[in-house]
Amino acid sequence: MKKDRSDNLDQLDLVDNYVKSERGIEPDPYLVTKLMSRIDSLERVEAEFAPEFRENHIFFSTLYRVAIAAGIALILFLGVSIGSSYKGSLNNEIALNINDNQIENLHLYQGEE
Amino acid sequence: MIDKRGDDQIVTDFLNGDRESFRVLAEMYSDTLFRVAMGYLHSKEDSEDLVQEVLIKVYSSLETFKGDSKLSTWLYRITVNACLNEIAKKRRRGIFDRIEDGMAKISNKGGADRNPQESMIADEITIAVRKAIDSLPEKQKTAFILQKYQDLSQKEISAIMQLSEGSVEQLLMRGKESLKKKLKHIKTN
Repeated sequence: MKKDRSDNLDQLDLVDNYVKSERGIEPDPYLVTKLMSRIDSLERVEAEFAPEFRENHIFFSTLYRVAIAAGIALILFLGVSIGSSYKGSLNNEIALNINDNQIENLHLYQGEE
Repeated sequence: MIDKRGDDQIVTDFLNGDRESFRVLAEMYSDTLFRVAMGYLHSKEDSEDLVQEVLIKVYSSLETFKGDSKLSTWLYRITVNACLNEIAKKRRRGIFDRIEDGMAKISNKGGADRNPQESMIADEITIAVRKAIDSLPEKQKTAFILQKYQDLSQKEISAIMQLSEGSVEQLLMRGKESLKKKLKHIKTN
């Protein structure tokens, strides 16, 4: 029992040591400076391109929806037109050729003339 | 220079157009958020990137902070969610396992003092401990990280996780038991 308890302590010590080692890792001292310059550049880009982007965004999102609707309409049209273009087999001779009556003269066995 | 303004005052100043207030806020919380991110991601670079993303998100949405909870609680919550999303994204990409071995070596400090065998054992232990922490259920892991990496009280953790203190206590206990079980195979000494 005592051994179990000491094992548990050891396992938790391992976890504590691991956490301690990770807590010791310091972030880049210039992290906030980098962040602020990133925010600056994001704001600059937004200020520069925001009106154009907004217009383009509306245009492209409309175009995207129209393209999807046109795609679906095209698929439906093709499906219907391909489906209705099928007229079935016109060659009835094939059906006659596989008739057993023509291959084998059954009347010989039936005693009919 | 130490800023003596409280969180609320800094937020108000920022919302009134004082951009420098955000720098103060970022300096106050970047280390804290970095440590939480380290608990989840175990990588300095990934954690720094995540903290930047979180703070950019905070910059653009600080006006939505209602002040119902403490600012720190709000920031912790955003960071925890961002970390969980990042882990899910990495899992989908399948690179989490690949960087695991490399990161274990990087985070292993003092390896130069050990002989190769000791170093190998230490690497294995590090990987095992990390895997054990990573394999904890989401809520247990969050409670564990907030307590161990940030020394937060159960009350603070319960505010961040929006759970009762009793639930947090249970999560911490279950997490501890689970870690013990998962590390049982490691022979110390």
